[in-house]
Amino acid sequence: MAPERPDRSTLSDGELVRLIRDGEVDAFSELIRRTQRAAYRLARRITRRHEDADDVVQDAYVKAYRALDRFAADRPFGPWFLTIVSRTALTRIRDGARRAAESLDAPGYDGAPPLSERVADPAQDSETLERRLRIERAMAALSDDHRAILALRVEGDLSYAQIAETLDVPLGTVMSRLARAREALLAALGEERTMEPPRS
Amino acid sequence: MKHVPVQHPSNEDLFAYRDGELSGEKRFLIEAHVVSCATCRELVDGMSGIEADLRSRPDDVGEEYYARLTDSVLGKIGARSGAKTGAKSEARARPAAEDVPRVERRRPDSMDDAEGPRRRRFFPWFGVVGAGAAAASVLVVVVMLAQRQGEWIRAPRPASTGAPEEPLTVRGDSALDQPAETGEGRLTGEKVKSDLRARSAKEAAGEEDLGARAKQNLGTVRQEAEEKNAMTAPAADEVANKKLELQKDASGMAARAARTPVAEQAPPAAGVVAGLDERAAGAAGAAATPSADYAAVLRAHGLPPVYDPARVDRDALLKAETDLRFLYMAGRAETDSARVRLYIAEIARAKVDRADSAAVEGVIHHYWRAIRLSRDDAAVASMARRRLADFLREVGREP
Repeated sequence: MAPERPDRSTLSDGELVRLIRDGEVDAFSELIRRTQRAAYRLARRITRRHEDADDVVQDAYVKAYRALDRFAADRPFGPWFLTIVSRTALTRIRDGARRAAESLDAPGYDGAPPLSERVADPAQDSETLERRLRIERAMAALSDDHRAILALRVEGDLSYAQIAETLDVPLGTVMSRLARAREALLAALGEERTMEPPRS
Repeated sequence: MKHVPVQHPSNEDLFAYRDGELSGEKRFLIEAHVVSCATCRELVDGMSGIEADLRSRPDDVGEEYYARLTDSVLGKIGARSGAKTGAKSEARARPAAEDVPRVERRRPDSMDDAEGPRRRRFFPWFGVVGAGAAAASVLVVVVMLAQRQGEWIRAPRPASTGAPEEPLTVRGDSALDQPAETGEGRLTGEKVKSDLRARSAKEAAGEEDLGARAKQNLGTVRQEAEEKNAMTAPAADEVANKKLELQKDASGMAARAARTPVAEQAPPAAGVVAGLDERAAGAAGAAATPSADYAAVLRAHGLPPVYDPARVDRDALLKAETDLRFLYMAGRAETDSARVRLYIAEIARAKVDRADSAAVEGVIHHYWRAIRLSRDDAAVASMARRRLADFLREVGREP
């Protein structure tokens, strides 16, 4: 039986980082606990596959751990770590690990029902369910670049400045790319009427 | 009355406004346009609904996966459960990967703060809009700007929904409808920058103190939040889903109302937008239950769900600062973002140095964020508007 981990849930991110720097490596588990859900969702959005998202998240934690000396302990760990996750995920999809997205009807992780069933909240009407599935399909059909920048904003909840840092592009580029990605999403949903008209 | 074609901001600006990434004059101008333009409001609301749906996607993995993930990562970095290595592990001695940001550096907080080729000065003559300008004046200014500047204004957006392209109204009873920087009260960029630099130094000095206080407070708060989460996770999910739906219903009501035909170039109908707010609030009112994390912080500090100057004293406010900031910065405010933001505005206000123009701008910015985030939370919206108007008067500006 694995020994119990000490409860460090009351410590701040900065205190945990200082503990890890002082050799309490196990304190890293608390930072993992705080960030793993957001990290996985972001990685999954970008890579579109569980296996890739799993690899990305694990790699990102290892990278973050190795780089903790460069982390400013007075800042929240989450946004910094999500930047690493997104960079790792982007590297992965650009380095040839490009595979088809998992179908919404494919079985979930560990035999869980497919997403198309899991979004079917009994409290929702069929119109809502259909809309959500359409949005998921449209998102999955976007180009890697568009999907990635939308994922950074929507799932990662990163500011434009953080996205600029992640993608290593100017702030203005983030602004325009994000707008193009949203337009592409709207177009994929058949809502072209909201597209910006051509300049006259 | 002669029909004047309405010009629209670019999608970049509309989305940046929606994301809270604009500040200063540009933010005010876009806000004024969105309030009065049904087409742009529909675009912004529509995108918000889509992104809310994306965020509501159920998790693909469960707790078992996360438990395995933790063990796997700890195994890779050479830590075993409960272990204390007493020294830097071998793994941390390795150089960091390229995917890790080189340093944690502060980036500008908004698009308008960015330096570089994109930075442009928008509408330097914006101060012509008088402090008491009513809704019609704002519309006229927007149209004039389109004609003279053409910077962010693009060609007319086709009104394919059939929505009329004229303002419903602009509320005339609050500071929201007026530019904050007018006449002699206008701030110069250099002054703001200089104050910002001074404030950053002050904040850096004060952060250690905040950290120490956080140690005492966060324990209780997080524990309570975790316990409540553990006990009520399914119920909380249900409430969150319901809340999302109600929010969308409320947005839909506003959008439907915006599509209602009204006479071309009719004068602004006073109270229409305010009426929409009330209807939206009615639809969303049932969803005003605070999330577990937010509720835990409020409970720990004895604060009401929505900031109320009659019920919260300065000491209690400042004592809760670290926890509220933690909620916001860690992304745990979730559907309570507007409420947290209102508290943060009040905290900033309680500490503001009236002579520090950047700090004053910061307070105003927090109120604006609270108002924007509170789209469907009438209690927060109303309180934030009142407090903003009050603050503007306090610092000698025209609400």
